[in-house]
Amino acid sequence: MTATRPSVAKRACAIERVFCATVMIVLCLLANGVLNVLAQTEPPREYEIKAAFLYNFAKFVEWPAKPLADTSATIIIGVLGEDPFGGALETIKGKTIEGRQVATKRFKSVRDLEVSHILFISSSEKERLGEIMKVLKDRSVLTVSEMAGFVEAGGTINFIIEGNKVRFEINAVNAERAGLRLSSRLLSVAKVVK
Amino acid sequence: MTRILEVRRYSEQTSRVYLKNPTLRESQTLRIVLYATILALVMALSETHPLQAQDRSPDLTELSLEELLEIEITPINVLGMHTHLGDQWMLGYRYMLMRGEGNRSGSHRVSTSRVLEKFMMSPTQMKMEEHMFELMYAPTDTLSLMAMLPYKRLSMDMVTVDGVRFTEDSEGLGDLTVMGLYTFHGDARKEGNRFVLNAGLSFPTGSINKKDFLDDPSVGRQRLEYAMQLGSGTFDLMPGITYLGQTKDWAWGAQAIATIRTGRNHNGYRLGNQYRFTGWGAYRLTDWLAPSVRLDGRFWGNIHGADSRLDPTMSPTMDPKRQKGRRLDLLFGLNLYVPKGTLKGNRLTIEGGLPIHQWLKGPQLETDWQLTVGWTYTF
Repeated sequence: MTATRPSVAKRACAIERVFCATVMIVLCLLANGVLNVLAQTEPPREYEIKAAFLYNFAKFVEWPAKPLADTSATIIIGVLGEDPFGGALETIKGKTIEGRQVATKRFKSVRDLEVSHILFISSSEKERLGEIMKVLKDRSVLTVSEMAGFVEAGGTINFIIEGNKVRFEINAVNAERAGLRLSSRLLSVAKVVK
Repeated sequence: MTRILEVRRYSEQTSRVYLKNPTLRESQTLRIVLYATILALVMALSETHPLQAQDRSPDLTELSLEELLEIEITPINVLGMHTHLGDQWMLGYRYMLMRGEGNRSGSHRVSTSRVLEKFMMSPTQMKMEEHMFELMYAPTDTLSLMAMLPYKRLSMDMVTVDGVRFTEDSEGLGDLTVMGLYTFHGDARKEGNRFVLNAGLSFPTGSINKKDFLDDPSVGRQRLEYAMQLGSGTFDLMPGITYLGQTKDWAWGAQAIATIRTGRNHNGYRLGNQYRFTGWGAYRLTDWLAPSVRLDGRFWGNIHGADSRLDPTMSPTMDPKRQKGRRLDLLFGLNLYVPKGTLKGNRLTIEGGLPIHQWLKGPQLETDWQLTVGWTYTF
C-alpha cells in the first residue's frame, strides 16, 4: 500500500510538453540547416545496381579477337528479351572505359542479335535459352542473366540476390570456352561455380 | 459520517472544476491539436523548402565491385516496413506509460461519490507502465516471425466509503505473444500496396493471482481485481489483417486484429475478446526523420465467469459485468532512423496521444493519455 498521488492537472500537462518539445525540435533543426547537412540521395534499386555491375564487368574482361578486342571500338552492352532495367541502363550509356565509349542496345529476339561485348539475357527468354546458347556458342560474348540454372546451361555470369544485396556467380569454364579472360579481381568477389 | 462528508465534498469540488470550466482535458486537447497543426504546417512547408532531402539518382558506375556488393537493394528507411526482408533480424524495446483519472459510465464522467453510493470502494486513478521486449526474424521476404514479452507495473489509487485512501501495486511479466506475418499480396521490396495476414498466439505467462494490501492491512494481502492482473490466464488467438501502402515519401496503413480468448483460466473466468482497428500515416521529412499520425480504436467485452475471490459489490473493478468498453485514440509520433554509419539500422519512435472517444460499461476508470517510446535495431 502506498501514499496517494499528487494533482492530475500537473501530470496531465506532461504529454503537452512532449508535443511542444517535438515541434520546437523540428523547427530548430530546419532553421539550423541540419536537414540539409544530413540530406541523403535516393537509395538505388535492384536494376540500377545490376546496370552498374554490367558496366564494371567490362573493366575486368578481355575479349580475344577483332572486332571485340579492338581497343578503339565502342563497347556494346546488349539486352536480349524484355528489358527489366527500365531507365537504369541510361546511366551507363555514353560512359567510357579506358577511352572506349560504352553503348547499349536492345534485341527483341536472338534473330536480331548484333555484335555485343556483353549480352544480358532477360528472364523472358528462359524457354528459348537452349536455342540462344547455341547461337552464341562460337561468339566471344560475355553472357549475363538472372535465371536459376543459367551458368549450368552455358552462361557465364548469373545475378543472384542474397540478404537484400546483389551477388553474382561465375562459370569460369564457360568463360574460357567463349575465349574470354576474366580478371582475378572479378573472380575473387564472385561465387565461382566451376 | 464526517469523513464520508469530507470525501463527498472533495469529490464534488473536483467535479465542479470539470463541469464549470473548460475541462482540463478539453483545453489540453485544443492545445495539442494546435501544436499538431503547427507541426503539419511545418511538414507542408518542407515540401517546397530548399532544405528538403535532395532527390538525385546516384551514379553507381563510379563505385568499385566491392562497393556495389555492399549496397542494399531495398534499404530499411525511416518509414519502416512493418515486416522484414528475408534473413533480417530485429531487436526491439518499447516503453509505454498510460494514465487515467476519474470514472466513466458510458460516455459520461461519474464522480467518486456517486460510485461510493453503490460500492464500498472506488478507484480514483490508475497508472500503467509497460516494458515490451520484441524479437523478429524474417526467414523469407514474405514471412516474418515475432515474439513479444512485456513487463508491467500497474498502480491503482482507491478510496473507501470511510474515506480511507490506499494504492494497489502489481508488477511482473505479462503474457508472451508469438506472431507470424505473411505478405500474401504485394512485394516488400517495391513501393506500392501490400496485404499482410497476421496470425498470433498469446501464452498465459502473466500472473492472474497478484495480491496486495487493501484498505485494512491487518487482513493480509488480498487478490487484486481483474485490471490489476498481469495476464489473461488463457491461450488467446490473435488473427488479423494489415494493409500497407508506401511511396518514396509516404507510408500509410490500416490494421484489424482481434484477441480471441479460449476456455477459462484456473481462476474460473475468461477476459472479454478484444477487437482493434488502427490506421496510420507517416511522411518522410528527411532520410532520418518521419512524423506520423495514428487513429487507434478498440472494443473489448465483459468478463465471462468470475473470480470467486473477488466480491463484485466491493468495487466496480471487481464486477466482471462492468469491464467492457470502447475507445478511440488519436496519436502523434516521430520516427527517427540512422541511415548510415556505425549506428545504421537503429530506429527511435516517440508517440503520444489521448482518447477522442471512450465509452465504458462503468463505472470504470477512464484513460486520459498515453506515451510510448520505442527503439528497434534491424540487421
